[in-house]
Amino acid sequence: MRILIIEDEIRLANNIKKGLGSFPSFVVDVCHDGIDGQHQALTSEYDLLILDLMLPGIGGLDILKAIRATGSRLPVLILTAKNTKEDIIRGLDYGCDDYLGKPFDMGELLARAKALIRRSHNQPDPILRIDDLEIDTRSHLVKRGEQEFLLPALEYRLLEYLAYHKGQIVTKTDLLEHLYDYNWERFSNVIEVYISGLRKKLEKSGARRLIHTIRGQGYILSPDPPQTSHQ
Amino acid sequence: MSLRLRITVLFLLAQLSLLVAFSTGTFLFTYRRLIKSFDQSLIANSEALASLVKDHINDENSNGFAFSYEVMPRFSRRKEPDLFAILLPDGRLLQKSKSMPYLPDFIIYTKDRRFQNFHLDEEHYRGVFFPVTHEISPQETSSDKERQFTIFFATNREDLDDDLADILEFIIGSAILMAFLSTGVAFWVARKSLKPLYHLADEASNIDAENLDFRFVLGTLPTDIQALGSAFNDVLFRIEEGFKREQNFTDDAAHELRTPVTIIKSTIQSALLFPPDQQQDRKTLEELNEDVNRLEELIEALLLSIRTSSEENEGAVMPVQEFCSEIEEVISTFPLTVDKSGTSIHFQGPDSTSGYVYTNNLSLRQIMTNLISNAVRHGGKTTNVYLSISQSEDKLSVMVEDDGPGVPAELKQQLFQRFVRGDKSRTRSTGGLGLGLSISRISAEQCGGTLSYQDREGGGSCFIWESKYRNESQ
Repeated sequence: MRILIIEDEIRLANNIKKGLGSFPSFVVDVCHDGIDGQHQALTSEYDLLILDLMLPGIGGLDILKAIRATGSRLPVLILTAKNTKEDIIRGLDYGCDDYLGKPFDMGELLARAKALIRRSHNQPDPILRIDDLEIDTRSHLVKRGEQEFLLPALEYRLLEYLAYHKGQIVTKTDLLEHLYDYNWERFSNVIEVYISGLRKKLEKSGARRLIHTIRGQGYILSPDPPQTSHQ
Repeated sequence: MSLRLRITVLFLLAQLSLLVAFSTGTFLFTYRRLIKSFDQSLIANSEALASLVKDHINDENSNGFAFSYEVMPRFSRRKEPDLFAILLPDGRLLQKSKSMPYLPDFIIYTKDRRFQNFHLDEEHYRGVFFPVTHEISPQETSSDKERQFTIFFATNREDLDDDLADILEFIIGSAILMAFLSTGVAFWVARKSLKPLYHLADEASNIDAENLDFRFVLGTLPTDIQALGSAFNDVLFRIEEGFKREQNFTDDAAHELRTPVTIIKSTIQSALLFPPDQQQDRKTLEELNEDVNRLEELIEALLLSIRTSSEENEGAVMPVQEFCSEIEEVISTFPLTVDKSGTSIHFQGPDSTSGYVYTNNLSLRQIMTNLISNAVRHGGKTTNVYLSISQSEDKLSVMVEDDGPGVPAELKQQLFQRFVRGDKSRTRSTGGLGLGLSISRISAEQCGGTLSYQDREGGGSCFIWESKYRNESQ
């Protein structure tokens, strides 16, 4: 999952990035002013936006307005020192999904971020289940039948992303957008390598394939292979 | 004394004065009328008597005349009979009434008509001296053409006195009754007149910190009270503004303090997410140390900005020479940062370094550091900062000018307020707490000086710090 933080306090933004980055689920981009932030939010794919209100250039609420105006369903968490009742009501009315005041507890921020992402994919249960595959988004443990294993960060991230989009076709571009922060150069081959790595682990001991390739379109995480003209 | 009581008393006094004046006037007027009437009857009777005398008097040597009491029944009354005396010029008494046993001393011949009040045997009389000139026809005598005598005629004035007493009683009685009624009316008038004020006070008592936006609707107030209502509204407006400013300050201060606390907290918590690492943790502790120092700075600056008076600043004096060298020292603390951004500072001292300026070391450093760092920070890539000092008879001015972009029009009004910065965000990273100018102004004013801004001719900002100054000789 790719997260964007728009926060002008550099130290704070980096601390949040560090905190979020400690989870394999997340890759994090950071912008320090409103103009950059708005541009970034509107031109790249994110799964969550953490937004400060008092920003140089364009203010947080205006950025939120701009995002919602495009019809985007990007989950937005407002993080700000302005937390009177009026401010909270205004933020929610403008279209944010959650509102956290400063100073905040890092653990709380992380939990709320995860909850927002779960909600936005209609997966209220922190444990993602497909067939006999269980992905615990809290401990990042993956269980297939009786087998439990801990995946390296990118593989986990990839699997989790597919799981959140279970039964839907996910394109390689989607994966490149959502699994890497903007610093990485993206080579689409990399995805294929990781998919085959995942398959190897998940299909050990003969368990059936859950990650299916749809030629020309992308991948899908599903118990049954989808019916296509190619098959 | 309450207003109501005061109005009542004033009203009452006014009423009473009027009453007294009116009563007195009425009484005097009535008195004169009654007396006039009485006097007219005295005169009428005197004339009647005079014609009687004229008819019966024969010659100048006559010793009396046959005066028939039947002719004038008045004289035969037993009760309160009239009195008369007829006097001749040579002092002889021609005749007097039976009712007068003796002739009182004051009854003498006189040529003037006058009236006289007197007592006789415990009775009160009023009489008239009525001189008569009797023309004699040529046949009767050979010598004088006329004969003169004076009639004194008096009537008992007991009835008159009774009437006057009655009138006086009536007037006084009415006056007292009126006085009582007036008191009642005065009370009522006072209450009625003051009612709008009580109403106003009632409404005002409902105003508190929560509803300072309340205003009196001037149209519903009586015209005289409208001025008061309007003044009230002005006061409320100023208080509301003051409150808002205080509220804003509290909100701003809270925000300012939360930011460093947030950073510290997030630093600690994000470090705790990871397993202990000596090098990383060491670095974290150093960062935290800096953060806490900055927080301390912020708290001190906030406290300074709300302090309203400081005894040690008032009256502090510094020789101008020292003043200038202190400023030069402050300038010298800038070169490193100055070189980086391509800014240069030009300093021009005053014409003479004599005299004393009313300021102290701390204020000087704080103000100059603030002004110069503002000029450098907001100046842009290549800025020139011009510092000049000038004196007048009682003022010393320090001008800090820069040729940067200057202060935008919309900020000029609030320039010296707390937390106002070049743009909306309050990032510590861009430098500045937004408190510098407000503290500088307070510092300047505590020493009896001023700090103001104006646009620089030719573009840029110009800050002027004026301090009180005195010559060596004073």
